[in-house]
Amino acid sequence: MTEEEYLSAVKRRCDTYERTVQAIGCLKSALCWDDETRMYREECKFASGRRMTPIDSDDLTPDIVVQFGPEHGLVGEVKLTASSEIDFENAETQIKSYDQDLCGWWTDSETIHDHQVACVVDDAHVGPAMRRFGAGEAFDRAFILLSAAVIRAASEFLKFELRIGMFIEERLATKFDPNTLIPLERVWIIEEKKFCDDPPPCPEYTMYVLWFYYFLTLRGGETRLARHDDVQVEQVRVDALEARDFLHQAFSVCGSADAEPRQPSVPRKDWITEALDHFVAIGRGDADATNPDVFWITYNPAAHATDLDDFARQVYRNCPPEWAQDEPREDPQQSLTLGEN
Amino acid sequence: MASADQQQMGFPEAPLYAVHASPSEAFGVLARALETTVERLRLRVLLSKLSLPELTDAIGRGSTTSKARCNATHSVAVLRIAREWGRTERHRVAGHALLMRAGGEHSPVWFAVSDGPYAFWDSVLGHALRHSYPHVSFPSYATADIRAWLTALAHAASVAPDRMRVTGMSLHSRIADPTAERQTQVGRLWTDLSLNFAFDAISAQNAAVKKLQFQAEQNGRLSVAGHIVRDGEIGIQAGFEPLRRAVLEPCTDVAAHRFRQLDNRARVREYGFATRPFFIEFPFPVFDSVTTQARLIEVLQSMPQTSHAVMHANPYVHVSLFDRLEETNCDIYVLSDTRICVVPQTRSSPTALSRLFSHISTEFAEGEVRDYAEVYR
Repeated sequence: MTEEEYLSAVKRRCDTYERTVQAIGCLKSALCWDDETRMYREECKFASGRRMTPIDSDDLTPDIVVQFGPEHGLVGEVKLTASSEIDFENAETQIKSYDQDLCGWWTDSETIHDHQVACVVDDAHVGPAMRRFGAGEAFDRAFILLSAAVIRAASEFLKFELRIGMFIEERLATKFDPNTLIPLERVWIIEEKKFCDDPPPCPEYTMYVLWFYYFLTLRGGETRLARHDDVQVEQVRVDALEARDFLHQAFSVCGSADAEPRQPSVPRKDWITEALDHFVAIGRGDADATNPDVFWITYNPAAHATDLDDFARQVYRNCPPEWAQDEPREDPQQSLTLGEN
Repeated sequence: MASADQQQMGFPEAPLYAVHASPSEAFGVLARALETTVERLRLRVLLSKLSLPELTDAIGRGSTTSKARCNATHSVAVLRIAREWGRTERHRVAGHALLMRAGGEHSPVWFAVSDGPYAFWDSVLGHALRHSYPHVSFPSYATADIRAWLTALAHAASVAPDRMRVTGMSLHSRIADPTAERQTQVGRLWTDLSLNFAFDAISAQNAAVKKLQFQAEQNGRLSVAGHIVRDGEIGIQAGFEPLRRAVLEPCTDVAAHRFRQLDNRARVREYGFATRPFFIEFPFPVFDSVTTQARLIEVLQSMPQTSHAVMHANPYVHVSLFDRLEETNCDIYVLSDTRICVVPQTRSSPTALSRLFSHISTEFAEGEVRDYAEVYR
C-alpha cells in the first residue's frame, strides 16, 4: 500500500467512525426528543455502551440502550460499517445476545417489563441487511431495522428510516412513519462527541483528538526539557488516565455527568496509550521511565504537520500497521459511505 | 487641569490632553477643540477586558517610550507615546492620545483619540495598538451597519440624505476570474455620490465597505465630514456632536454586544464540557452549492496565524481550526444554506472568535453573529 493509499484509507475509516458517533448522538434525539416541549423527555433514558447483565452470561455493552418509561426499552447496535452478508450475520449474532431479559435498566430492580432489539445500518447497504434480517424471525422480541443517511435540503439532516418491524413505543411508531429527520445543526453541534464504545479505527484518530482538543488544556502544566535529534525540546507530561477521564467527560457519547457504575469509561485507557505510543514512535515524545501510564509529549500548539493527515503520514513512515504493509488491495472499509450527496 | 507636574512629564498644556474627569467631559472638550483649534480628530474603537492602567501598560509595550496618566475613576487616560524605528534611516515620532472607556463602567469598549498627524496615528499609536493583541483588539463592522449609521447621521445633522455625499471609498469585492490566485480585491475610489446611491452601488457589486469618506455642507460650510473604516477607525473633521450620537454610540453598542456574544464559550469542566455554539448567519442562502462550501474552506485556510484540518468537505463542511496567536481551538461546520456554525472547543477567547468573524466577514461574506439559543429556542 502506498502512502497516499494509506492516507485515504485512514481518512475513510475515521470518517466512518465519526459518522457512527454522530448517528448515536442523533439517535438520542430521534428516540427521546419531545417536539412539543422542545426538550428531551424526562422519563426517557438513553445510554451508549451501557453495561447490561443477562441472567446467565457475561455482561454486554450494546451501542444503544433506551428506556422509554418504567415499562419499555430498546437495545441495539449501530452497524454503519457493515456492508456484506457476513457483516450482517455477525450483527445478527450480536443482537441475538440482547434478545433476552437484561438487568441494568434505570429502575429500582434494574429490570423492565419488555424491551425490543434494533439494528441501525448505513442506508447504502440496507438491501443486504434486509435480506439477512428478513422480518426479524430470528428474534423472540420485536425487532426493528433502521437505516441512516445524511440528506441535504436547505439544511443537513440525518434521516432514520424504519425498514423492518414496528416500535413498541406508540409515539415512535408515529414519529418514524416511515422516517424521521434529525437536523444536524440543531442536534450535532450540541451533542458533538468524538468517541463511542467501539474502538477508534486507527491510532491516528486518537492522536488527532489528543493533540487538537486535549494537549492544549495541559498548557501551564508539568513540563521537562529533553533532547531529540540533538535539539532541546520542551515536553509536556501526559497521564493516560487523566486524558481518558477528560475525553470521557468531554468527548464521549458514553460520558455522563454522574459517575454511573454501569457506564463504561470511553475512550478506554488502552486506546489512549496506543496513541501515545505512536507519538513516541513518530518521534514526538518519550515514555516515562517509571510510570507506564505517563508519557512526555513534545507538544507545541503552533507546530506544523499536526493534523490527521500529517499523523497518518508520519505513522506510515515510522510504524505502519500490518494492514498497510500488504500488497495494494481494496481496503475492507473502502466501499463504505453514509449519505446521499 | 494642566499643571506644572503634567508639563514636567511631557504632557502638553492643551486642554485636549488633560486628564479629564469623565468620558463625557472629554467628549465636550473634543467637540470644542474641533470647532476651534483642531483640524481633524481620529478615533479608534478598541475592545479590551483590561482595566485602564493595565490597558495603558499593554499599549505602552508596543512603543519605544510611553507614559500615561489616568483619572481617578480609571475611565480616561492621557497617553504620551513615542516610537523609533528604521535601520538605515532612523525615524522617531511621538505624540499624545486620549484613551477613554465607552459605553459605561463595565464595558469592554474603549476609544483612542488623537489629533496627531497620520505618521503618529498609524506608525506609533496604531503600531502599539496592533501589537497589543490579544489584550486589545479591533471590532469588525458590516456594510449594513455603516449604511444605517450614516443615514442616521444625515438625520442627526439635519441634512437631506442626498446632501450627505460619499467622497471616497475602499471596497472589498470578490474576484470573479476563476484563474485568480487570490479571492478578493480592494478597489479605491474618489467620487461624489449620495449616500443611498453609493450603498446601492456597493450592494449591486456584492462588495463590502473597507473605508468610506463622507461629508455634507450647509450654507457653504462643512456641517459633517469624516471617514469610517470597518475595523473601527473613525475620522472626524466636522460635526462632532451628530457623529457622536449617530455613529459613535451605535458603534460602541454593536462592538460591546458582539464581544459579549463571543465571550465565555469554551468547553470547560465547570459547565460539564457542554458546547456553546454560535452561528454566523447570512441574509441569503450562500451555501446552496458545493462551490461556495469549497470557497469557505479556502477562506479558512487563508486565515493568518491559524492551522486547520478539513475533516469533511462534502456533503457538509467540518473544519477544525487552531488559532496560534491565542492558542484557542474551534470546530466550524456548515450544516445549512444560510449559516456557518462555530463550536468553540477546549480553549476559547472573544478576541480569537472576533478575529475569525472578521476574517469571514471580509474574505467570504458579511454575516451576523447569532447565538444557538436565538435560532433554536
